[in-house]
Amino acid sequence: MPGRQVAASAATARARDEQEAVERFVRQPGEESYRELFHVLAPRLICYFRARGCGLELAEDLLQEVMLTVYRRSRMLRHAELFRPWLYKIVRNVLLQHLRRLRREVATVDLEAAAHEPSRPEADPLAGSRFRQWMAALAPDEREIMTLRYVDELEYHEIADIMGIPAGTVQWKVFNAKRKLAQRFRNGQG
Amino acid sequence: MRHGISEQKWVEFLDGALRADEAAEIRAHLRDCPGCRQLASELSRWRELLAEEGTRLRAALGEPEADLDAMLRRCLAQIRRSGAPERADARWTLTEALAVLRLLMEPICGPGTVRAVVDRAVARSAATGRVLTWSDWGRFVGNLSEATSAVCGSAVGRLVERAGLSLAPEALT
Repeated sequence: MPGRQVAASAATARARDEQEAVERFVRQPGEESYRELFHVLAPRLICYFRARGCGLELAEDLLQEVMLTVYRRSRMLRHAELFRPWLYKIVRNVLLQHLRRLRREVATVDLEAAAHEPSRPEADPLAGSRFRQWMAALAPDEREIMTLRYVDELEYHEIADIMGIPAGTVQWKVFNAKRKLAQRFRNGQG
Repeated sequence: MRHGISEQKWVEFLDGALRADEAAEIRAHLRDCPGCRQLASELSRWRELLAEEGTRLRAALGEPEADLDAMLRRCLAQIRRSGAPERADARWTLTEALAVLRLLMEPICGPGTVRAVVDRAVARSAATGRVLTWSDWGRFVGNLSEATSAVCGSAVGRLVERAGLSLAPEALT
């Protein structure tokens, strides 16, 4: 129990630091506030990409792409409370663009040459984890919502904003996903 | 609905977001109903398991291997090369966005049809009389797409919807 309390207070402190950095950056976007923002967001964004199967090196590249976009579009954001949904829309777009690029590469690759190449060494960081096993029991939209909720720690209304669905639907899908997990893993591990 | 308790109430009860009197009602029901008690206990357990696993993953996955300062320096160097952030109003004005939509539609639907469907969509979408604002834009694009689909076919309607939404300011998309 004390371990849980320590983790909870660390999470609260992290959330407060993030909130302050976001407010400063939205109020006055510039190099100084950007540096601070970069430091508080980097672990969160790297975790986002890795939780969706990206290797560490790729996650770091995508983080830089996101943070460049955040700076370039910073003047479009005037309210700190809208920052997280806005950020996660950028993050999702960067990941989707990367996946599209990857699909194009795969589509145009020389199959004969590829057969002799070693496979990509970057392993799925979640392979074999309990979370991956649980998520495999859910539909893709439930998987995304549950990851946004429990790994990325977003509120229902933020997830709703990011995914373009009502907050009540998000709440209901989280409830339903837990019910599915309870049924699926009732007699096994959980 | 399960035993007279709506699904919405279940969701809020398990999230601890239900009003105290309503939560007390559900707790009273749980004392008498083993089925619901088991469901509530399993869902609470899953909530804890998922939260614990989320904490573990954040700790395990969120550590950058590379030096954060080095990554930040690379970002700042790129930012300096590319200049100031984009202006909030760097995209279209409302009048420009409407003109672009009309220009896109006219070769396909004809100017008369475009005038008619745009006027109808504006009349159905503008919250304040006949003056369209950006806050009406999503509704306007939906109505325009629907009217265009009826006259020129669903493929053109979809094209109009995509084009219309892409013309909206960043904050609306």
